[in-house]
Amino acid sequence: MSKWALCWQGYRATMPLMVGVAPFGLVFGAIAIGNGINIIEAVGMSIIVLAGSSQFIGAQLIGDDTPILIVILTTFVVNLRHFLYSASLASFIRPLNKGWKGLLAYMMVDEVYAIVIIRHLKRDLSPLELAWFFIGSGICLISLWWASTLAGALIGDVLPADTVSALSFTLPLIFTAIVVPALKTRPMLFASLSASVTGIICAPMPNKLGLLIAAAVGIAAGLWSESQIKPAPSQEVA
Amino acid sequence: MIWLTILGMGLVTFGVRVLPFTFLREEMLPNWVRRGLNYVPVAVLSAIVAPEYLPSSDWGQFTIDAHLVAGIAAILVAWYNKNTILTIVVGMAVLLILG
Repeated sequence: MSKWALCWQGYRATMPLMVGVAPFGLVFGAIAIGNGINIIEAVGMSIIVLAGSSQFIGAQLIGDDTPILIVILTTFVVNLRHFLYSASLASFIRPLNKGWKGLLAYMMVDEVYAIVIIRHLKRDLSPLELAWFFIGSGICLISLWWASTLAGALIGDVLPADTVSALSFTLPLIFTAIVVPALKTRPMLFASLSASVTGIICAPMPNKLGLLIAAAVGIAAGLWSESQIKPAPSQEVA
Repeated sequence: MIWLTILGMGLVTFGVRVLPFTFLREEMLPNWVRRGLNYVPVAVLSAIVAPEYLPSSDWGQFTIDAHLVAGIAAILVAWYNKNTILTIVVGMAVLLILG
């Protein structure tokens, strides 16, 4: 498949997520203005930071005159999960050059990662082919994020709160459609269940720490379940 | 000052995303970490999704409402059907009818 076909495939695969992301962008733009951030700064944040939940938290902290280092440190903690995303793809995209790696890293938001990793798991694309798919997915989501931030900053929060809430519910539904079919093996099922339960229990923790802990518990549970099925690698060697 | 904050936020976010790409070599990692990375998509996405279906604003206090029913319906559809559009349609329909 040509690179443009792959790019388009990535774009198309990401389109259903637009319904859920656009209202988020609108609300972010409006919240930024409400916190004393101007239109250019709000759009600038969506371009430079490009990470939904940390932008919401960042805008609120800026509005509260929080010291700059605290804002940056909070952003770091909130986005730490992206380290895992990048790590899970690192060895596959290793042949790509620095420019590609920088571009893909910039675009690595939750929604794009979800779409890209599920495509990657079909194992039929080379690193460069996956990168083109990745770009397509990124362009779809990021252009919408910028545009909806601008719209929200200009016209404010025009959608009623329950409409925003209903539309943004499409995101967990899409993630469900992505994750559930991947639960084919017992370790995957275990990882998902443990992460879900821990995520629900730890949800009240600040700065997405609950999410990080839940992810770690899920990964550990998957590894544990795997070790119950087959003997540990050292025993295999012996 | 706001621009400095935005730049700092952007820098740490990009750093977190780019470091594994540029510095991580598979042979640097112990075997269990390598295998653990296979569970990242399922573990992180599950951890993102589950609290949307059963939110809790305070320790041990859960909000059981239409979101939970819609979530369970979506999980069942995805389990038996694997169709993304059908999963979204059923989940949204349950949410709108019950909500």
